Amino acid sequence: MNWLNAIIQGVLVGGLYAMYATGLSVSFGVMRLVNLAHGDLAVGSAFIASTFCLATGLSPFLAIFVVLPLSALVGIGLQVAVFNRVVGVDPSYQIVATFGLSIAIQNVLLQQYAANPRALNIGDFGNRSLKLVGDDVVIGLFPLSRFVVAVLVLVLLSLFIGRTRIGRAFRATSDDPDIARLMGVNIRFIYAVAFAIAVTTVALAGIFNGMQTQFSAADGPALLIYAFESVIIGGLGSLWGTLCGGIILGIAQTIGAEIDPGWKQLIGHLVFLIVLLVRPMGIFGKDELR
Amino acid sequence: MSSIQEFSVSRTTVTSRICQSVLLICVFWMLFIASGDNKASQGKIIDLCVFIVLASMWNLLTGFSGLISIGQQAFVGLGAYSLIVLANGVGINIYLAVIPSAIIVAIISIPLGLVAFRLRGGYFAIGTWVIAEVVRLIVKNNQSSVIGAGTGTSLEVPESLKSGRYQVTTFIAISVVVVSVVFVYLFLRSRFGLALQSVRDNETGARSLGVDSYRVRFVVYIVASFFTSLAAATYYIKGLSVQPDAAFNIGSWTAPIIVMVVIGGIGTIEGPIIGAVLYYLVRDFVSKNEFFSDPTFLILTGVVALIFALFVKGGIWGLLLKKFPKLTVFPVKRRLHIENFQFDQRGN
Repeated sequence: MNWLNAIIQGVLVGGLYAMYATGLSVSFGVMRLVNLAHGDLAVGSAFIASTFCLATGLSPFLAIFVVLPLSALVGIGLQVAVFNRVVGVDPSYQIVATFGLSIAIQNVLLQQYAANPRALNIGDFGNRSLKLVGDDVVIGLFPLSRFVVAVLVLVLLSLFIGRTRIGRAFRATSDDPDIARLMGVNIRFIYAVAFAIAVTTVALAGIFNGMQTQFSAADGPALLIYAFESVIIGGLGSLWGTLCGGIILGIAQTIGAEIDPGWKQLIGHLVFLIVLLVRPMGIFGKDELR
Repeated sequence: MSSIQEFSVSRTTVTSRICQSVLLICVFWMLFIASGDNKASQGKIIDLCVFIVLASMWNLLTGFSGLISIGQQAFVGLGAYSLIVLANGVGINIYLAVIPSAIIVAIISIPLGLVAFRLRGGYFAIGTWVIAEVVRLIVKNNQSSVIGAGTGTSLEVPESLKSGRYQVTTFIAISVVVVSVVFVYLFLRSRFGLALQSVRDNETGARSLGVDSYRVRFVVYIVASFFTSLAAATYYIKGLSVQPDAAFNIGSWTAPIIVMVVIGGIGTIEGPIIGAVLYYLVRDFVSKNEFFSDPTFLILTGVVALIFALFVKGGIWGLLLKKFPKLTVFPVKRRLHIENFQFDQRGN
């Protein structure tokens, strides 16, 4: 058993979870929307990237530049066609609508790509690693760069929300949509931008996930749960809390897997439940979730 | 001053009496089939009854209490495994073990609820799902011979009970569905039901009038867990084999339940029943049709749920009510009848 290695791998996976969670956090923060199809959008993007790579023979890293603009468009489309109709109404309709969307996306993927798992081949880069502390701690170059990108995405996003005009409108809408509208904020535009960001980040996370492990049509729900747990552990409304939540979840899972491979997810869930019982507002959260 | 000579408050209407009689006839018809030998029809009746109960309970949570659960599979799986433990492990008669296993699940639901109730709204929904996953993983990692870990196990039916199992199970299923629906009906008509709906409609207002919203919702959560596992245990007396991944599967339990309720109409007693019957008719038709593969059917259910949630919020029952406002099967609201009612000049 190698605890140090488990912890370091957990931190690196945690970066990926934080990237999954960012979109969930943004769409809840700005429009109080809980999107159950969040994980399925990640899996869908990975499939589209894989199709692109198979058709053109290009590297998955180039596929990112095709899939991300596409997912931003998908995000805006979904917001206009679906989510604008459920923002601000009884949350049960939100949940039912996004749950229906989730089932539909999963089964479209299942029908299109069958149940076989796929992977995005990044060649030699996926195998290179840095060896620290003799041979005990091995850091894969790809997981490390993925972590760096995740942090970079969070930095850019918090600069965007904290320093720009649209970001200010984001915060205003989050605090009180009606007053924001009175002050001249175009709420529908803000919602569309927020959802475009949500889908783009989760698509990037989905592609990064596919570059390291196999993925299949039914993976979406598990990814949604990881994203959700990261958000709650870190605390609602705090992007850095989300990163921290993702890292805690990642460490819990790798340590769980180290004890017994069947316990990977279970230990992660249990840590989440403990945080929920001990500190329901999350580690960095200010308010209770009520 | 207005002069009200006579007034009365009533709930039952002529239509509700007629509709209830029709339903009663349906129940007798199902009992007739239950006493026969047609296992295929009996199996269908069991499935339908089970899903009507599951749908009614999800509706009691979501439609009447504002507790959106997507983790009902937790109670289905727990119901199945409690039955296994009581029947295979302890050796209780499989039919007599149904109610005790639901009681066990109701007790287990208390600590689960304490965790879930830390969350609100949409996050409560995902929280219930995580809890269901935790229960599934715990069961899956349990290596004891009674539980059977990931491969699952089968309900052992003693020789003496083998004949007539379908008949007895159909009778149980019919009783469970009748008791559940009547319970929901009486529950919502009671003082407690009024408190429940007031919490859903305006929590702050209800609390200011002295309703303990947390306690009211918690009771509903436990009640729904009880009936959900009661139906699940009934289902597994028919199905016999239990695997954790199937029993705790969101796609085979909670997904159809939600679709049924949304199609029928959230927040009405009639909606889930209509939705469940309709879902079964469509699925039955589809399973005979080669054009509809499993994924195609599921894509359609997903899209239908989406469309109903966006555009037909009241479901089919809601559409019917718009056309026929007096229509009601299970009247919950009170109606005021005033005879010789006269307004004075001030319009009071």
